[in-house]
Amino acid sequence: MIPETDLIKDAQNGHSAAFKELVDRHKEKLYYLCLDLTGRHHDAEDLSQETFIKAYKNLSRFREESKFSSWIYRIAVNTHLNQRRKKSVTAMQTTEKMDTLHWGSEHTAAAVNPEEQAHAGQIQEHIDKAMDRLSPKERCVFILRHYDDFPLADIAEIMGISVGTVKSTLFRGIKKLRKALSFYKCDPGMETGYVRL
Amino acid sequence: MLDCKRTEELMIEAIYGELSEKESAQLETHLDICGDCQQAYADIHSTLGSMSKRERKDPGPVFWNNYWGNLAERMNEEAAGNAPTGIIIWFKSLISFNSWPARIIGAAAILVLGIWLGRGTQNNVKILPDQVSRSAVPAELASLNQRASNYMQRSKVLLLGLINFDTESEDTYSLNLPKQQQISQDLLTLTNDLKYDLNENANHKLKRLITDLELILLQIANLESEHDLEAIEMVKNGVDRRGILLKINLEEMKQASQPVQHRDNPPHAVI
Ligand SMILES: [Zn+2]
Repeated sequence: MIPETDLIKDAQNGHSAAFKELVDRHKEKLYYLCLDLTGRHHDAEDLSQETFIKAYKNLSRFREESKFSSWIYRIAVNTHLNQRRKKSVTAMQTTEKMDTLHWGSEHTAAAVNPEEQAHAGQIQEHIDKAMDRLSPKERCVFILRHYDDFPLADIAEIMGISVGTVKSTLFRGIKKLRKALSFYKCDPGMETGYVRL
Repeated sequence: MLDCKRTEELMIEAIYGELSEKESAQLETHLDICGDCQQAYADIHSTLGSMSKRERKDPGPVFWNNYWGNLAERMNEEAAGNAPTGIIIWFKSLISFNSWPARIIGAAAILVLGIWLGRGTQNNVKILPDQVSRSAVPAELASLNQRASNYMQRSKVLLLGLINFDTESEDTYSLNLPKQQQISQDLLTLTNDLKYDLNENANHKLKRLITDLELILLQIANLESEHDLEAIEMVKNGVDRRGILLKINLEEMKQASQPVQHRDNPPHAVI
């Protein structure tokens, strides 16, 4: 297998076969990140393609110190956040208001029968809806840490924010998710136990 | 002693295994004496347990197989974005004639226009812009190789869409003929330069394949409507009869066996 650094050099020199190989190696992870960010297949395809095109156009700016995967993730996240910023300021303001809410189910509007809601097919829907409650930035941080397993320091680099901000954003995001999913608290199928360190 | 605010940060790090032993002990001490943080920590675990049940749907092998083709197509569309629009509208209007004689005239006009556009926009219409300096001969040959390869790949994606379209049972809407025709037209603008360069490099086999493809692309570009199932079948038969997809696959295999060229190893002609 050709080392990635060689592929990057070749791609920087205009060899499209090398760029194709880079795309093949990273398309899957990038697509799933984009799917997590946007929540829709079509948008994910679009965002991942746009990311690769931007990467291709800016290949000359890529420096070897950073990992290629982190670099394209950074492009994807920034592109997504910029698109969201342009699209809806109002929606973001609405979600930001929720930051002041506290833990616990007493604030949950939905008084849902846990047995009904825990239906297997509905769990995915509830999780998606819970994710939709996050602001774009909270969603990015949560996805990168929880689903893509990036260390907090890498997320800070990808998003261009401090590690402290990553942690507080993540904490805030998980609080919102908790609120949205609080009716699962009594469901034996979900993890509820207090886990000691 | 830790305060509750600092504990929040430590909880996040602890959950994702990013906490040192010392901080871990500090967190545990705080949780033992602070009911609120203890509850919050349990809630985080519970929530993340739920979130881990999330499933991501695999878009399927067709999506992954076509990923590069679609990406390359979009890059090409962006690169071709500077083509003069007035001409493109006129160009499109040529394929809306209804009678066969008009189609033939249209096809001839497209061919002539293809030559003209191909020359006029050859620096814009490229699947992947060749950023290598064109002054060195080997780089130019590698670039020709890439152009031919990209041309074949795009054609293949297009033809697969057409071949896999079942005129008997499928809705013609799913064929998306206008898009297919647009791609055919884009490819036709590249054909003459490519054939000329292949001829110059005595690669007659690949030139013949490109010529075969050109005929098929012209037929697609001239289909008057997606409801003309007979004409679509004719194009499909043509692809089949000429063994076009097999020839493309063989060419691709041949090119894939060539190592990626390195900067300090100037590329040689491989076609
Ligand atoms: Zn506390």
